[in-house]
Amino acid sequence: MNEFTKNLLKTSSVLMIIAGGAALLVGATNALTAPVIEQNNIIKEKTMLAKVYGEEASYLEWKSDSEDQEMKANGQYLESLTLNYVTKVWTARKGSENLGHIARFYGKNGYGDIDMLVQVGLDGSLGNLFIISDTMSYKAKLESGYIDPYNASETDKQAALDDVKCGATFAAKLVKKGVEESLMVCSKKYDQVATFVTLDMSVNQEETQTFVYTFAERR
Amino acid sequence: MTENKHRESFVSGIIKQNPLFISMLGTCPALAVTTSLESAFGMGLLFTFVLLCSNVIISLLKKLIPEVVHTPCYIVVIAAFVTITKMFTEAFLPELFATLGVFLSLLVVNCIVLGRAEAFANKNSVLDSLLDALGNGIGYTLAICIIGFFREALGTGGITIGKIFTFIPQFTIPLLKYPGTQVDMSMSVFTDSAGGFIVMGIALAVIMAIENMKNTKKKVDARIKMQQEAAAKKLAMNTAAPATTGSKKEDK
Repeated sequence: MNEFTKNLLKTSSVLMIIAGGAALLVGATNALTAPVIEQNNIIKEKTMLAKVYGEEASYLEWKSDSEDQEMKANGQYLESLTLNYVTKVWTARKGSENLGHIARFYGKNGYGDIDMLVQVGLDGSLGNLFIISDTMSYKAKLESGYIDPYNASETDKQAALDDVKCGATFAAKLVKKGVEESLMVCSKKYDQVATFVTLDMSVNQEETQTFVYTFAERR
Repeated sequence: MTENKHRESFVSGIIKQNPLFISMLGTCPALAVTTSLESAFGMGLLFTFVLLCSNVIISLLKKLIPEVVHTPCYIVVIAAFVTITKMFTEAFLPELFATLGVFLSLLVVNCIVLGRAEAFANKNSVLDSLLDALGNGIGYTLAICIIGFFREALGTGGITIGKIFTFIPQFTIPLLKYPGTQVDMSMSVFTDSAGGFIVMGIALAVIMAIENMKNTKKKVDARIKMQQEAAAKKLAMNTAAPATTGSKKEDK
């Protein structure tokens, strides 16, 4: 075996051993910490859900193969669609009365991600937004200006959905798209053909006191 | 002699060769995560852990790693420990994990970690590398905590503990803002990026001023010592000359 081959084998072996050792360490740590992280996420989700409609309400998750016949009959199940942002939907119930829906949307850009809950009324009206986590960009926090309009008056909510403020940054647009998709999924009005869902937002002219969001009808 | 070397390895990283204030390394996280004292302290702890582990392993493997591939090997070792740190932080300190965000991952390319591996750990014993890592870690933590303290105090009017380390009951020490009163001398600019630059600039100016004072004092002391030596030499010469003249008279 010549000198070149010896050096090549030695260098490759050392790199493989170090990479292998690092992989083992990381794998072992993942095995230890993954259950704890998952548990933390479940607790965080439950804590945030309780803030939406209160701790007394129960939150029933929409599943595509839901066994709850009442939920299926009410259309409270996820259909097999490709959604860009919404990850989970729940219906809040107190006793036998449905209080409203909550959609969880997750979005990311090149720097970080945001995870939020959107409160949606039974009539499809928009409620408040609740942040689960935001590690958005290097500053690691969403600007309050991106969220506050959605939690303000109906006029502000409509204005926020009509047009993005704050210089139309990625974060502000991301929140708007997440809210739009949450409203669509909870109202079950969407275009099934395209994965990119188009919207047609308009104010119901007859009911000037209430803002009603209308969407492209499901084909 | 060996004891002195160990002590030197540990102490130099804390003040004399402080990685942030003297070597000006790791300034990116120093500006980004020092919006509060707690987050700065948390970052310092995690940084020290990564530096400690990577220095020890690299020192252990220094004779096995061929010179031509030492950089990718160091990066793999450092990246592994950063990943482990991230996982443990996400599991057991989720608030700190959310606060630090992307800057925890950026520890992989933190110049202090790679720099100490290249400059020290691959040339010295395991014990010295460990002490060097501890010293640099403590020095960096101290530096970013100083910046974090002033930024939080000036920016929010007080120091809050327990927001990130949630196992501590939360409390706030009011300094410039007193709840229940109209007193509020805080300036929110200090919690923004501009404030980070301002505080760090002032801290560096103070450090440089102290260094200059020390250097000036050393120069003055050296000059005085030289003058004293010259005077003593002259005195010795003057004293020797009369003694030689007296002995010649006696001979006669």
